Amino acid sequence: MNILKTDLHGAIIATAQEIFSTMIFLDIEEADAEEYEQNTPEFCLSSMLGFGGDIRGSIELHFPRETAVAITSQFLGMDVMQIDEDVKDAMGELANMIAGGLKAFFAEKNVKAELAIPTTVIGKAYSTRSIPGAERVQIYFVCGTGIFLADMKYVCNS
Amino acid sequence: MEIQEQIIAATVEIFTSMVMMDVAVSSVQDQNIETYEDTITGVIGLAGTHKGVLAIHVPHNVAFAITGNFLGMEIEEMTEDVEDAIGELANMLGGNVKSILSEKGRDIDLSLPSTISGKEYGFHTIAGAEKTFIPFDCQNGTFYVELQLEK
Repeated sequence: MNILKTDLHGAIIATAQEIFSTMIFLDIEEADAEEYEQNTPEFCLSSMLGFGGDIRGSIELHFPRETAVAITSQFLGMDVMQIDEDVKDAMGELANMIAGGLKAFFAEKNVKAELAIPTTVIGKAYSTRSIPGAERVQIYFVCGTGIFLADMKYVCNS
Repeated sequence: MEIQEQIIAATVEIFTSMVMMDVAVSSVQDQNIETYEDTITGVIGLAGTHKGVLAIHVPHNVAFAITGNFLGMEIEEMTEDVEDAIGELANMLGGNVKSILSEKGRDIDLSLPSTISGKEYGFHTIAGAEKTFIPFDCQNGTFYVELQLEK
């Protein structure tokens, strides 16, 4: 079994774009990663979802405050002013939908994966890390008002 | 045996045999911590017949002591060793919970463990999940083991 990193990179972009365009009515584009890697935005909300099976790992979405609030406002069709329960639930659901899309991508490759449930971390001055040796795909997205980071870590079981 | 008691037994066993540290269920039974301060959380997902998340929330000073015991050396600051140790603890606890929920663990897959570490953060799961939250005391302080399962 083999999942090419470049295929996965493309699948994450395609899945995220489809979900944003059909569910949130927002267009998103891959951003120039170099620009943000040198000047990492301050993330204050991260939604994470683990998966296991032939491929084990997690997908994490990291948002600056403004992006999380703007996406939730658009998602719910109402003005959300601050990080609250709605934002937490919406960003968790977003991780769930993107992971669901990737599960379908894995299935096409005959790679079985099952999803855990999403968790959301809200705070300041925190960081996340996976085990050493995991493969990693990081993609910065620009969505109208802001940016966010999709960070996937995984190990393929042989 | 109820799942809470099984998680307690698994946690005590892992700490006694792997970390070489005595732990006991805390007399203060908080059921929720809104904000973790100077803490590291190890988290692992469960997928399959049961879907959920297992997390262990450890204050930094307790995490340094755990890692020190693991590695047999003094640890006084947050390093990758500490993150790896707490991730590994989540992995071991996840493995135990998998066996508790499914015979020989065959119907549940674990995700990769991750860690969250920071000055101040809240940890939230989906609304309506069934939550088991257990505070433990050890010599260096209190840490928390949390299991959230989709109903």
